[in-house]
Amino acid sequence: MRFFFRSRQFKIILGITVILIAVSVAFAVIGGRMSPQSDIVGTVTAPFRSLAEKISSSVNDFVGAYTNGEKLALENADLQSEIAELREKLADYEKVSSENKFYKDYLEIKDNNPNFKFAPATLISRDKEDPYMGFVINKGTVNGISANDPVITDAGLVGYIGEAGLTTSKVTTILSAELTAGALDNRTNDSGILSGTIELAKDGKTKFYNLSRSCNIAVGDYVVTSGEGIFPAGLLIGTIQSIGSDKYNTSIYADVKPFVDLSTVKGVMVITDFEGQGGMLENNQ
Amino acid sequence: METKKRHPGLAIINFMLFFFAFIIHYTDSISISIKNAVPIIILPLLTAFAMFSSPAASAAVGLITGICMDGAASGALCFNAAVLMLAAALTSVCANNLFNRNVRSALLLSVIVTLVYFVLRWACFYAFTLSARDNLTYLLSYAFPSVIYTNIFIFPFYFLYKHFNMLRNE
Repeated sequence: MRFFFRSRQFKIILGITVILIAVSVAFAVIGGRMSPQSDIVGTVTAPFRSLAEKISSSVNDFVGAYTNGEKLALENADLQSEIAELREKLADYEKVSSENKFYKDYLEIKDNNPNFKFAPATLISRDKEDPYMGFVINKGTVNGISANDPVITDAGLVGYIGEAGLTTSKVTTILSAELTAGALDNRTNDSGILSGTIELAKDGKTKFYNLSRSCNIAVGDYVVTSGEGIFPAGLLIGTIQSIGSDKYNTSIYADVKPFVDLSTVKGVMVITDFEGQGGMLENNQ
Repeated sequence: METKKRHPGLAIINFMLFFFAFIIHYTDSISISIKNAVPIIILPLLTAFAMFSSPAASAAVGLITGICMDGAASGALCFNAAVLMLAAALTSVCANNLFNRNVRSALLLSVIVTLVYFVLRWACFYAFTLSARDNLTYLLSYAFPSVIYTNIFIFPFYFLYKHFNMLRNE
């Protein structure tokens, strides 16, 4: 064994390790950029990963069609009870109507914000070790995407571009503790900060905190971006699921369930340009 | 002196094993996770491979696998490349000099490799950015179950590579 540690092989391995660590440290200091080897491998393997994703998705659907007989019967029973539930819900017409208007407003986001520039992208791989459900999309800097660009779907905010490579980018989701953004309650206009925790990410939720003790937020309220930070104002985030107060009883926080199901998201839109983009970053510098 | 026969078929099977382990880990549609326990089957596969290979070959496979993992996860750090290369080389050295090549050694080496991997990952990516409570949640709810689940895969891989080794030594 001693011979190995004195051998040329070991010195080469150690040399490569030192180089890798040096590159890592350098790119960690720069931030927002992928390391060169990640960029190259990411670019080369992107088509294969897209193909693998499509093949595995098809295999999944094919197998599912033959193995889900029993599941379908259960689903049928569930659907029957859901119909009954929906009948009850119809009674609450006014609420449904207001929600409808809300979603319609959202769908008009692009019409209302003609300055938004979108780049559609597709998920090509997911880092399953990431507890915040981060993933990689098939678009990068050559498509006009840069670090900190907001990422959305038609359901709401997904996150932002954590690292932009040449042809692929890593999305940091709204469940992440790395994300800190201004948010507000859409009904009461109470503003606070949105950031994730590992504990909440486990249940697919994020935290809306630093709310004033006199705020009037309620369970079921919609939370939207306030325009402070890297996101434009008015992007849907999620609904308030529970409300609590911090341990010193000085402010209120709420657990928010995002509208977007991050575990099943496939196609996303990256907002590559909007009015006021980078304003906060420039002010900080 | 051991006589090793060349088996081009084994190289292809090796490549396919690593390829499928990689696809299973990074493709969204295939999931073998149980709640928060996410097995990284590349780790026991690499451990089993390193036990029956030379340190140089193990380090090379570890480096390539790690670079591919970094590329797939699009991480800014070369974490996987550095850790897997060192882990594979040291596993090979230990298996050749310190341990017998039996299933208990395989399990022990696999446990050490996965534990070191998850602890280093936690130290590099989470330890200094999370609150104490979140750190504990990560270690207990994600890392610990993942380490246990990951090590289950050492058994099939160990017996597979043991068989490959027998074929090469025939």
